Amino acid sequence: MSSLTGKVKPTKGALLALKKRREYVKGANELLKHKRESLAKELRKLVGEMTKNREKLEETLSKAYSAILNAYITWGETEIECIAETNAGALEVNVKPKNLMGVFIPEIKLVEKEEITHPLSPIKLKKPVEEMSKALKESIKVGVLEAKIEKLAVSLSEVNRKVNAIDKIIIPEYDKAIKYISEKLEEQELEEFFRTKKVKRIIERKEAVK
Amino acid sequence: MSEEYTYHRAHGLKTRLLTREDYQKLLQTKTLEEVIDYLIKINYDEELSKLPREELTVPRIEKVLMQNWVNHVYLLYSTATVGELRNLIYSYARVFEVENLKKIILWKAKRKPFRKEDLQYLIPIPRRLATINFEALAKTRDLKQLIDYLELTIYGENLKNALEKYEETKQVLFFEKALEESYREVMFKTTLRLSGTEKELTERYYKTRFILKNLMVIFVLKSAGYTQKEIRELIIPFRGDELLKKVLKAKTTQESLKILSSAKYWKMMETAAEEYEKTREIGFIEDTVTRALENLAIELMEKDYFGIGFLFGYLILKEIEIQNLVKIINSKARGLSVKEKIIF
Repeated sequence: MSSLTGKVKPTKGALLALKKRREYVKGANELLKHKRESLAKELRKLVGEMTKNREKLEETLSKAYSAILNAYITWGETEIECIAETNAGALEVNVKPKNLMGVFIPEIKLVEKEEITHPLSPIKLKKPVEEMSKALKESIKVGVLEAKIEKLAVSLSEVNRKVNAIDKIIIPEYDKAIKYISEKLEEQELEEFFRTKKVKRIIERKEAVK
Repeated sequence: MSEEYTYHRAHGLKTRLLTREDYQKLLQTKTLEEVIDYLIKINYDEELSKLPREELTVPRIEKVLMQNWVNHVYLLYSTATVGELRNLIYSYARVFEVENLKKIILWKAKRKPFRKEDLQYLIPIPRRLATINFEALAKTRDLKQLIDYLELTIYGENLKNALEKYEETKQVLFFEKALEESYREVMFKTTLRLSGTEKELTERYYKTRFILKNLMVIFVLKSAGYTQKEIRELIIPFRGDELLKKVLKAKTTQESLKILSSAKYWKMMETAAEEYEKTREIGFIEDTVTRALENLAIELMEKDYFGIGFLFGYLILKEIEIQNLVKIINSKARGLSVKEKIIF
């Protein structure tokens, strides 16, 4: 006997309450399934986007590294390090969480900084700075996508667990409990019926003797 | 000692420049270690063998190379007892100061404190060749104090004007322009005291240098979408150079390419500009500028084999040698090939 079955009293009231609760759980389950579908759809979309962005990032990074290596070779390490040292290095990002079916996923926006985007500061590093700046933006994009995917995947597995639990444990338990109460009630009704019949027969027999 | 002695020393130093064979051997090396070994075997033994191997990192070797270049200039300066020639070499040596000032100003413009250890980024200039105490300059509070400190030097006036423009635009290129302009003025003033071939060749040397520098800046700024007026403000002022005027006026890069291709001397710039259009790597234009300077060096040396032409030719070739070695050590340290970038 399941835990729920053991806990409920086999009464009509309990049966009605259980049936009502089962309908409610089924409704919630439908909602969760809908949420799961939406999350899975979004996840598929993000994974596709991520594959494209990763390829783009690899390409951009390779261009950026090649430009930086070229700069190192052309002007020397001392010159490049000296210029790089002057960069304030403080990158600013705006993080705004977005709500998707109750899951908060991060939306990160890079705040443009003069030191990174200025085409001529200094003139020698124009190309590497531009390429690295692009790579940085791309890596932030990929980072945000990865974070989104992670959040969605965690949420999806939670929803999946809930749906499975409802489908395979909770609803069957309710069904069992309902079936148990129904059977009990039926038995009680039969007993009642036989008792009534027996009493009726005894009364009839007594009346016939008289 | 006389003027002739200095020219004689320049001839002597010229024989110590790396040969084609040296470059080929250096390009064949596979590691930085092998490059160091080869450099110790040839002309850089004095500086490199003094240092323990573990200290021979890329920046350290770069510093040694720079030191070597400065030492050669200083050697020529100290052998020149004749006023005009001594002045000329002294003026030429401002190029080191200009490079150091560019760095310190960039740091101050970005509000980064220049610490004692950051002095390693500067070219070490012998005291007798320097007009500025860089250590004191590095300690200045901000850009304004730094420019006030330089007020009475040859850079003062131009830097003051640049500061006003910088405050409006935040464009560091104004300082680079001011420093280059000051260098050009010094060279111009020194040339005024010369006459004949000496004057003609010295003018040819520094004018070509500035035209090439301007050309490079024009190209980059044009492709970055700067207007003619904005570019004119950011390049070293020039007078009478029709080619530069035309290139500056050209509406598109294609148009400027056409102008360049029509000029005999600048023909080589065409390929570089095309490469730049494709890749946006300023290195292509800089390499071509170096090639043009190498041509100039050869021309100056041929024209005046026992005079100032040879001296300038040698100084240009030494500068190119240092640039080449910087490229080689950086590429070998990163396991890359650099053949096409070496000019010899």
